[in-house]
Amino acid sequence: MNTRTAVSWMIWREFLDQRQNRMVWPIYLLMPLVGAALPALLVVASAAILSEGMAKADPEIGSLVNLVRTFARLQGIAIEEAAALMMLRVSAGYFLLMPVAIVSIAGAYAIVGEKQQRTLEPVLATPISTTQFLLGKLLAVVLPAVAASYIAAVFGAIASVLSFYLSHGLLIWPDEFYFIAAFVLGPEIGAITALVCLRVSARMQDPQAANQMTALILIPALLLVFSIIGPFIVLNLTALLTSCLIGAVACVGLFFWVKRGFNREEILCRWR
Amino acid sequence: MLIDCQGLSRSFDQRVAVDSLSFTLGAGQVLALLGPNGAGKTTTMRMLCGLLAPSSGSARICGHPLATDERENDQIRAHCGIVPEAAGFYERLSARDNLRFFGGLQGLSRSEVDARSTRALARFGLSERSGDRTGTFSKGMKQRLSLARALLHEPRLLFLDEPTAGLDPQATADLHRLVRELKAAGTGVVLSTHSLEEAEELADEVLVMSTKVLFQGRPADLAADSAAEVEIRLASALNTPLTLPGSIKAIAADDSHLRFGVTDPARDIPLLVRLLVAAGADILHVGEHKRGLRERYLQLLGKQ
Repeated sequence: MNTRTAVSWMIWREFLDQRQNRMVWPIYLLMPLVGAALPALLVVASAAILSEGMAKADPEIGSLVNLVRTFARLQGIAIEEAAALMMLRVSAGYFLLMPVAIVSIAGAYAIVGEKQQRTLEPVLATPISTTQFLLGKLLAVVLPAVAASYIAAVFGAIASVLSFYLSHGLLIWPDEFYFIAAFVLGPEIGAITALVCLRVSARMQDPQAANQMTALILIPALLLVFSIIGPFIVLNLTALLTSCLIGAVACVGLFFWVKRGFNREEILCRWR
Repeated sequence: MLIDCQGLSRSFDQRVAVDSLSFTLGAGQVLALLGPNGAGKTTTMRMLCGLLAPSSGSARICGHPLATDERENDQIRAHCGIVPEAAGFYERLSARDNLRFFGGLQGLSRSEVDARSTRALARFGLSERSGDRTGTFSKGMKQRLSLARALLHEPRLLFLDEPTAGLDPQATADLHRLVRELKAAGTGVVLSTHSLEEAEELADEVLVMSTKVLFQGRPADLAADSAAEVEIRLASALNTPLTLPGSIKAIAADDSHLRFGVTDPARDIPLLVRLLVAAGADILHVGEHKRGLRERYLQLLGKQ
């Protein structure tokens, strides 16, 4: 059987199942709504950080204001515009976390859920290969999160432009940082999360344990990564692109790691 | 030949689950696997349908060698249909969508999947509930749907893992009829069961196993190689004591009602009748009671 056919059937089934699962709807709706509103809110609030009072009251805000001034000078734009653009870049960080939140729920359940429903044996009894099975699972978990993230990012950008124009009378356009973070790095982080979830899911006996174990692994790892790369990817395009490249390589590497850890026999024989 | 396996064994860590299994199965034949829980029946079926790799031995399934290479076993899986012990359906999906999905994974085109699903649902009496979630189905309905799924891609070989466990008599009879239809159509069937009657009724060959093979042959042969019992009713109690040859053993005597164990019924029953008549008995009834499959099966397991 060709891979495209097998994977498309896997995705079709997962989507159908998720559509019928009302437990996942709130997160699929809530996260993009917040994602669409957040950039506009930050852009409108960006003017506040420029006030003399706030900069004096908090030394960190003072350094941020200096950073915005430098940024405005380098870009040759007004300081308000620079502050708004900076906030847009910061808001793009939400689109790095959003796929993680969406993916981790469906991902942790992906394989252990099949075990629980006893569907894994009939699925593996078909001519589907391990690569096709895992690719189907990965895409079925990641695609809805990516779609939600893209929609939220587009609406967030539109809302930001409109709200800044209405509040300041200036037109700003989200720059490449915003779009690269939301459209490339975010999905990559989503895929990395999904792959870790799949690996954990294949090892666990029940979905709750899989969920907890995934959170236990992912939250500290992501906090560490974001705290290291966060400041760089907001300010430095090379750092952002390098992160994207590392993300892509990590996705491929993790896929093979998951495939290696997916032992059909062990999963079939040790389930309860 | 659909199955040709030689010395097939499977171990899990240090525990041997199946030990040196050798048999063949042709088209239109039914093989029943009998044995207690943990005898290795499910492991045997999983090996034969390409889900598990054997630890040693070799097998050809529908012409393809059973291998540890996953891609080789894809071809085997394409020729096999399996009805696992637990039906295993996506409970939030309808019966039709479940069939579509599994048909799709078998490599059928979308139009083929739709047409075959409709036919299969009608064949197994599930058309009216085809749009309902399988989570609302009874065990019997799930079992029928499981059969529909297993046959959707028209496999040459069907594996049934305890298919009648928990089914009502009507559903059991329907399943037996289906197995006979498949047999007539040339499909090979491997049936794992605890029901000796089912094995006797459906199988061309039975394989009694408890990790290793204890008996292999026709169901009739399983019962035939054991001794029989003879029940004799007399008009009145026998006054003269009988001297019996070594091949005949008195089991019970209750006035005019006698029971004997015989090694060879064809030789020993006429001899017994002659002895009784010579002793002055008026014989009203002579009945042979052959020891059944169950007794022989238990005897085999007891020996084990």
